[in-house]
Amino acid sequence: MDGTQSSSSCGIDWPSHDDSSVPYAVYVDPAIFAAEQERIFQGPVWSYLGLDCEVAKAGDYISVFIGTTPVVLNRGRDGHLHAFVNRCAHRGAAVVRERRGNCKVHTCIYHQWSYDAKGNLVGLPYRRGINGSGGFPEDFKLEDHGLRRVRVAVIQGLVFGTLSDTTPELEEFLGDAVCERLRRVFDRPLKTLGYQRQRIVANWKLMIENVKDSYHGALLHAFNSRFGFFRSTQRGDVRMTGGGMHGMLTTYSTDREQVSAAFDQVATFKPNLALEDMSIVGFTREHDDDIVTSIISLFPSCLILHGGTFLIIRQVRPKSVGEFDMVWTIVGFSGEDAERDTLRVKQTANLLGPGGYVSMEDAEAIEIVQRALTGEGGAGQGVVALGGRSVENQDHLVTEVAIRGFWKGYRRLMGFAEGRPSAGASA
Amino acid sequence: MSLMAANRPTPEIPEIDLPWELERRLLVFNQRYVQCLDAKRLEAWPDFFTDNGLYRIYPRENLEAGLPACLLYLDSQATMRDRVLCLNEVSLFADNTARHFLGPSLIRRESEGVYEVSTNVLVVHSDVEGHSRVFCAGEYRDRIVERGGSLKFSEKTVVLDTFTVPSHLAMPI
Repeated sequence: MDGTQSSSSCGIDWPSHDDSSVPYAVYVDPAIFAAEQERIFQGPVWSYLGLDCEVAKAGDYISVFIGTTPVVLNRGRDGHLHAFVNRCAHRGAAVVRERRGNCKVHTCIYHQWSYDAKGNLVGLPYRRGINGSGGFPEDFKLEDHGLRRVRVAVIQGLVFGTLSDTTPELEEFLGDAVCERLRRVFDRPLKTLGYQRQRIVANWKLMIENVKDSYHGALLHAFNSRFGFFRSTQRGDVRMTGGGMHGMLTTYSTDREQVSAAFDQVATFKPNLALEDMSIVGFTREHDDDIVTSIISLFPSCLILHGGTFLIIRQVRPKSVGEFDMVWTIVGFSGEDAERDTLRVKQTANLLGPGGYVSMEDAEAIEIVQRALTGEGGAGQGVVALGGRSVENQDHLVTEVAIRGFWKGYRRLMGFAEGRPSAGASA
Repeated sequence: MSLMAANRPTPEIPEIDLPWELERRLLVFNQRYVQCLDAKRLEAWPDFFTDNGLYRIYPRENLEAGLPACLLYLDSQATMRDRVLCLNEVSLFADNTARHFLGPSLIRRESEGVYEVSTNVLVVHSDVEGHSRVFCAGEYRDRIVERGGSLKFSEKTVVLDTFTVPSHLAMPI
């Protein structure tokens, strides 16, 4: 698929000539969900698979997904990373059934076809039959029945995979500004401190939008405004690459100014609260610059959060049009001691994650969106016009521009043409 | 407060070596704990712990991999009171009614006045429209201490078999 299909093939009618409105059908139409798997996840994008350090030794493997496609990332005896689609070439069974492990060959339990780390078929029972009976035909060749390969590339210890031969090189796909930020954030050898997972009953794109949405940050998450963790008035900016697909929301340090008048009208603002234990928001600076938090979203489904003591990679795994899993990998740096690990665990668990003070609301918020949209089959459209209607870098966070950037990239890959200017819009 | 306590395998059923009255007090202590949560009496929840008590919700996935990341990690009564404050005054979450169902407890006396207790736990959530679903299955791995004639958790680790949390995790388990 080359992304040039006419928009009519999914029945979508993009409502505006820019990206400042989003048809609700994209969240609830199963045909669009199916098309996304083909045109985006199996198309020319790099999907985050895992960390280099999760498959450190020869034979180590992890089970992951590219979209809904099950994939295994593993390290071969050659020391290199390889990935393949986890679907036996014989009858389609999942070859690897564990979340992670270590093995010399991957053997499907159904008929014991065996594959190496690259997905090459290396053995199968009864190939020549038994006592002259049965067996596979003479022209049956092992090399014709390998597992589907997944191209793999690594940047700063983060491993990505793509199912398409036409995907540009990883760094070209991500763009210079994103690569530069990844080199800053992941500047030392990594280790993983564990995982958090949640199953959210909403369309996967609502989660991607949520992370690109600096509008809600201090409104929905009242914790932010009360305890000064994130404020819309904070110095920050939005930088995008890939024509808007990938986005970075960055906040910079400022003096601990009084919460501004901007919050006075916000219903969730509670002025007289204080925490007894401030260690969950007590950050120690890890880099010699003025960046406080980086929120990096890599199209289509990888979300990175870094600030002070927390470093998290979230992988969004679509399951159906109205359901996805989000897997959080809690990252630390190799060589850090148990005390540092514990502080990372404490901050990550209590601030972020499915039960965190600044993220538990996200699941509820996007589930109520999905619930309200489903009834009428996706009629209507949402508005994404904070900070304008176009897609360009902006030097503040009072904007939904990164969401518009996502839709611009999404429309391009899906082949959804922009709509005509509406009657009320200026020519 | 090491990970080690939670990382120990579930103990074999021990010889019955506790006086029934003591065993009963330990069982009732956990029953009172879950009744407190089911009744949404959150303010009383930190009082079940010692001052520097540890409360964790620990995904079984991480336990088995020997990795420390938790879903909640509250390492003092103060951090628990902060959690209560946020849940009551700040955070927004689905208004579910929770019912905790406890299985039988295995109890081991670690030393005088210190008991390790493991108990299966199932939590059913019912939403505002009256639909119920299993929220999680797991196991309490507790260290309960006798302090001045009353029992307190010095550690309560919820090992969560349901480590893919349905939606979000607001209330303690």
